Amino acid sequence: MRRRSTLLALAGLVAAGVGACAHPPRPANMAPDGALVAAGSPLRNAIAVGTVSGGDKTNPLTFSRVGANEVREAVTLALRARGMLAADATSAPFRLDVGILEAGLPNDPYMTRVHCVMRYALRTRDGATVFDRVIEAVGEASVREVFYGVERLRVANERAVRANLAAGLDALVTAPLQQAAP
Amino acid sequence: MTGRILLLLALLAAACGGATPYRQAGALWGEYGYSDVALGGEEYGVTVRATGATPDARVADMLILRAAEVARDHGRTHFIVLHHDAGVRNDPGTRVLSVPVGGLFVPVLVQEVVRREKSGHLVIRLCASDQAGAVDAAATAREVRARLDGGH
Repeated sequence: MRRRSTLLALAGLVAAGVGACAHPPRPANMAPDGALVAAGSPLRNAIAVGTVSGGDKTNPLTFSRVGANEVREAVTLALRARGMLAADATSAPFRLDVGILEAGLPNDPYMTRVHCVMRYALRTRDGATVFDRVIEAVGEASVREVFYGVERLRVANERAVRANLAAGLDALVTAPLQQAAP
Repeated sequence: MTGRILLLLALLAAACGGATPYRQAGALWGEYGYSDVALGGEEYGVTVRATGATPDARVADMLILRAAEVARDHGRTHFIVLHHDAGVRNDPGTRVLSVPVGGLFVPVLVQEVVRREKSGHLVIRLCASDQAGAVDAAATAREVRARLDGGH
């Protein structure tokens, strides 16, 4: 009986340990909504996701970090939601390269706000850069919302990336791209 | 007890103050310093995060020195700056001061604070020496390093 109790307690501890691991941000939570781009826009169904670089992989034993793979997925989802993702990447008129210059790791464990800085470069098929912007956004998650610190950082990171992507794609849609029209 | 608290407060102040040295930012926790990322092609991004006490000119020097080092590390002599920004951040946070009592750390002071830090970003492209706006990496590194070592 005692042995069974001990085993149950150990299993509980293992389960709690697994639950306590840091998880990477979820792409679906980082992808912003947005209005469909106008039907006549040169960006309509015209962008392939190019290089997504920077960021860090999440180490389950430490902190939730923003990784390039998750951001790539979020960029893809966001472009699709706005009707900007090309159906065929190989023949897309444009390629969007995204660089994560800085992403959520506050200098203080009690901070509830993180900064995300990303660089967006839209290039034509011949490699010419027709849009180049660095955007900073913040994400916050309070202790009241998410008590557990490891999860709080993940949520704050997701919000920061989401805000950054929203601002980046808004800027892309409104920027003059006359010289880029294929 | 009061002496201990004062000592901890002094240590805390020492840890938060002062200009950030030229060093790579910590990978585990957000230690101040520089970091860089390859953006594809011959483009690189450089980021500096520094304490609020770091002079703006020092943040700019740290950015340009790291950019010059990135060029050198890739066997190139020149680079051009595609983007540059720098600014101050005032982020809300909480400061918790704990004292050891019987083997446990007991919080004695929980204070809402605004944490001030500085940040800057560069996006560069490595290039040939004859390109318009090309920066000489070696000469820039020497000049900036001298300023940083001089305690500027």
